[in-house]
Amino acid sequence: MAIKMERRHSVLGKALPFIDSRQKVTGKAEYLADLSFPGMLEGKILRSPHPHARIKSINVDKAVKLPGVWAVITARDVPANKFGLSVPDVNILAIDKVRYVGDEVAAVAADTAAIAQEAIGLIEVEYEELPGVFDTTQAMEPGAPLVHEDKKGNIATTYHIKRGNVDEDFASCDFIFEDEFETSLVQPAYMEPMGCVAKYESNGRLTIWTSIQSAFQARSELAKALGIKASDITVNVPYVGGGFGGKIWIRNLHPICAALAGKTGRPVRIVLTREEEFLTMRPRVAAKIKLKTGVMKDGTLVAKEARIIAMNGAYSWAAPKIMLNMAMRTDCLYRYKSTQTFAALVYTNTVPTSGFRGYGNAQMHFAVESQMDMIARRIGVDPVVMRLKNAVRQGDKTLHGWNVRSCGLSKCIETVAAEIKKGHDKNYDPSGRFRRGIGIACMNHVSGNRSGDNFDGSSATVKFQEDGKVLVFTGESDMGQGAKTVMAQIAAETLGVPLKDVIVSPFINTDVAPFCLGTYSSRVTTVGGNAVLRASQQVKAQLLILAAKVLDTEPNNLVIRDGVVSLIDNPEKKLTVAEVCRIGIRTRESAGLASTVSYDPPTEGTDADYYGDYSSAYTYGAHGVEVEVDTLTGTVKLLRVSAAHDVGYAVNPLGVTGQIEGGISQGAGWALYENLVLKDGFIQNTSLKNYVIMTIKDMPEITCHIIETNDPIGPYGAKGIGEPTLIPTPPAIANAVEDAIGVRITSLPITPEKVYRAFNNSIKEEG
Amino acid sequence: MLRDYIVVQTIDECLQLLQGKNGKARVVAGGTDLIPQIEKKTQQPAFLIDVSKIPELRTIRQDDGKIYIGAAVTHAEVAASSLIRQSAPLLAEASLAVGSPQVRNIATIAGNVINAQPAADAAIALVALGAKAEIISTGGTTEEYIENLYLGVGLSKIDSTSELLSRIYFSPIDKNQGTAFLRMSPRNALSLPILNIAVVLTIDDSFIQDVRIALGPVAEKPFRPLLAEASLKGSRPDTDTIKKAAKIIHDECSPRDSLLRGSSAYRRKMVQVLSETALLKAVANVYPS
Repeated sequence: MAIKMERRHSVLGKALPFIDSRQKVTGKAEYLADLSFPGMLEGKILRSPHPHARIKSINVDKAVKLPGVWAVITARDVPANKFGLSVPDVNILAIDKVRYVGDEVAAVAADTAAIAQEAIGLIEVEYEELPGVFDTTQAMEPGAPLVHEDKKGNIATTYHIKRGNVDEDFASCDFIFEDEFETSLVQPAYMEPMGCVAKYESNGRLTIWTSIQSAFQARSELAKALGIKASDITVNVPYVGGGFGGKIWIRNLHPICAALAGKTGRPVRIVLTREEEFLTMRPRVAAKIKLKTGVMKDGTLVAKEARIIAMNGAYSWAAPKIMLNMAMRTDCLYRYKSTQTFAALVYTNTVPTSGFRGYGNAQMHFAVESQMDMIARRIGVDPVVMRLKNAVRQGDKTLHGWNVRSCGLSKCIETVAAEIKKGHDKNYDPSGRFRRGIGIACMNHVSGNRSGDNFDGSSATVKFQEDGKVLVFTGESDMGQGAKTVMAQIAAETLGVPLKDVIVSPFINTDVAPFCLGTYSSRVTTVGGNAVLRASQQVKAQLLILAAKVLDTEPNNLVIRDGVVSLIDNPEKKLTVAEVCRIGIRTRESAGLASTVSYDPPTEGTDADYYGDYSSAYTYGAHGVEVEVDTLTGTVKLLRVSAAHDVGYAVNPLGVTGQIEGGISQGAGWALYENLVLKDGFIQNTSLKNYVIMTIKDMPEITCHIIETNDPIGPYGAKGIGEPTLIPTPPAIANAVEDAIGVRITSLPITPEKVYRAFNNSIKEEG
Repeated sequence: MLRDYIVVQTIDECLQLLQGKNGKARVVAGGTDLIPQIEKKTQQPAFLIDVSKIPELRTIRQDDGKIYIGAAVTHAEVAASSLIRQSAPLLAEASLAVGSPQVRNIATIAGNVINAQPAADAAIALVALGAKAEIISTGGTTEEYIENLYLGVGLSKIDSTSELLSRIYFSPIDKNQGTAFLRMSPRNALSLPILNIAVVLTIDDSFIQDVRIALGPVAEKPFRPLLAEASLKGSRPDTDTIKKAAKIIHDECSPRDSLLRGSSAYRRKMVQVLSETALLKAVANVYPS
């Protein structure tokens, strides 16, 4: 691992282990399933066994009578409010019909999980099976069965976004290439299954404990579902065992758990089994992408037109927003003259798709970055040269109105291209069984994403305590990626205190935390960090006023270093931060030494046509990969990955490289290993036994390069890194496979059988 | 509903308990297959008789020119045993391919046979070795070739509610024999095989005198490609012969189409690739006589 950077700070920029890693590796950190409350009941959910069926009747009599059962609920017992995001189309429990295998039908609260599960088995549901639509082609056929009767043609949403004059520009191109790509269903597959504890307090308010990326979004969605006020709900988030975008939003289990708690008057806990997770965990939105690109002889990109049809599943959740990202974001990777996208999101009787690391941008990158290599080959231009020729640069205003304030894209491309070429022996057994190839792909992404004119910031509370220790309170989740450590480092650096003196609240509580949107869009280091930075600056100013009074000087004559306040000109005249705090707190000084800041970044947001500079900071990266293909079996082995990411400034290089390694494992998993297989609406692999995730023994050699461009908006120049690390991996692998064996795979995953068939058409369909 | 879990110290104690519980008790050793089956209610014993503490079931030894492996010996122990690595390297490799370190530390080689899955790695190696199982019940002791213990997928002839597989034995690999164990799997650890193959090949006077090949999962039980074996016997172990045999295996096996493991046609091609590689490896492993 090579990290070369200049360091100018005392706490920032250091490769530090996460502040909570000791609790985690010793098993002491408490996750949702570890929490227990007096009188707590266990909840279980009855799920649809059919992809599409009318519910004719539900009889709960036997379940209710089972000893140990406290409540059995169906749609009749819960509010019928539709909830969900931009297209609210889901009920807490299915009314009249079920729309996918796993759809929630009824629920039980009982003394133990075993009794609850037994009661679930006693609920009698009479279904009338209905014909279903299991892929987008079926769903769009004329007269196809409707998933939702009010959604004609099974269309959840469509977009048409056009910039410039594509027709004119295509007409002026030397070449036009049209190719089709397809991406698959993959699961976030976080380690900790989702769960919830719901409890009604004596004052009538609802308390929720749940493992989620966005506590405040959970609160507002729950309020929508239950038909109560958000301010009557407290959402607490304990340690979170991974999220990857799959835990941004609530699922039906949350309002179900609340309804069971309401009906029984007791705390109720629901923790999903792994099988339930595989049935209902929201997979990545699968897309069919037709890409038309106009290019000049020298490799200059001119115009791009995309037609996307994507699988929504039975309910909408975040898929409409994901489609929007898919439709737009890659238009800002290169300097196209004009672009146009037609996108349709289509209902199917399958598990709802939603957010997963990359949020639509990853799907489109597979198409765009695959086609870049295909075009480069066709016109005889080096794919690295072609990317560099077209890459956006700092100072650009992109087609969608983004102001590129910092951009290390070209540097990332050059870095990985040079490194992956250097280690690659082109003459490695060129006609043998095992053939090697290299490929690169690059990417752009965001750090925060202002929707329209809405808030896109973050808030934080920072306060000194009477012994000089600092408490940082935020509403942004740490799912394991290190947000707490980043917040602590920013607070320590800004305040001039040692990292060990900073405590970051180990859980989130929406009654206490200032308003935060949550951890998604790779936004938390950038916007959350900015909130902590500003709150720290304010608290520091308060402390310096008090210290100046004691030291008989002016605040701007003082400096704080390593927990000591001293005169700049006379370092012998000093006080420790702890001494200042003791003088200020619990005394008649009544110094607050606390600050809450709500920060909103200076970005424009978007107009009705989605035009505008909407993110705090745009991120760039590139991956170079080397693969070895077994031509007899079609197996692709990922040998090496060289990764370079423009993170603006690396607050914690160890955290950045951890993100890069994790993103590569999920990106390579998507390209080569993972695949949620559906047959007529039924998921064929509902366990980790046959949903294949890479292990450490499958991981390639990885070299990480952190490219620093010092973003003007990000705190200390920092930008996001969470999602970008996954995005370039699949297209880089597809490009390397073609380099190795001369065969282009345009659909994910790149399975051995697919490679084998493409490479060797001798195989005949038999029997 | 499981009522009790009884740890026994002797074979007699086990057999008496099995008889006394009259079909309601079942033998358990590692439990890595049985416990999930109980969770899924596909097995519903009232009593579990844990035989993993019976001393004589815990040993690997050589006696009278045979290798004996006790029924409660784990995959980790088989894989680490210098006796097995010398006398049956394919079995050591097969046991090392099972599950994860945690699974191999408790799962037993006898369980791999009794669970009767057609692709159980160690069982595939045992079939190629021509291993036999010793089965004890209150009625006495019987012996049976492991490949004859399969009634169907997941269904063993051994009735663990009344009898005990006490040990497995086979002849050690001789210096004129070569072996191979290979598998294809979707990842390098913790993975069920898409295909696995074990080969034991005997060469006398530059001719293949005997060969045993076992493959999984291409049938309801470990598959012996008898036509290919016959074609090899009496032939010189050259590349042409082996290529032809691999093609015969391709033709005589019939893996099913699987959405997760691949189409039948692809899997047959892979059988051919894996068979050829394994046979070549086995030939190369024959010690010069």
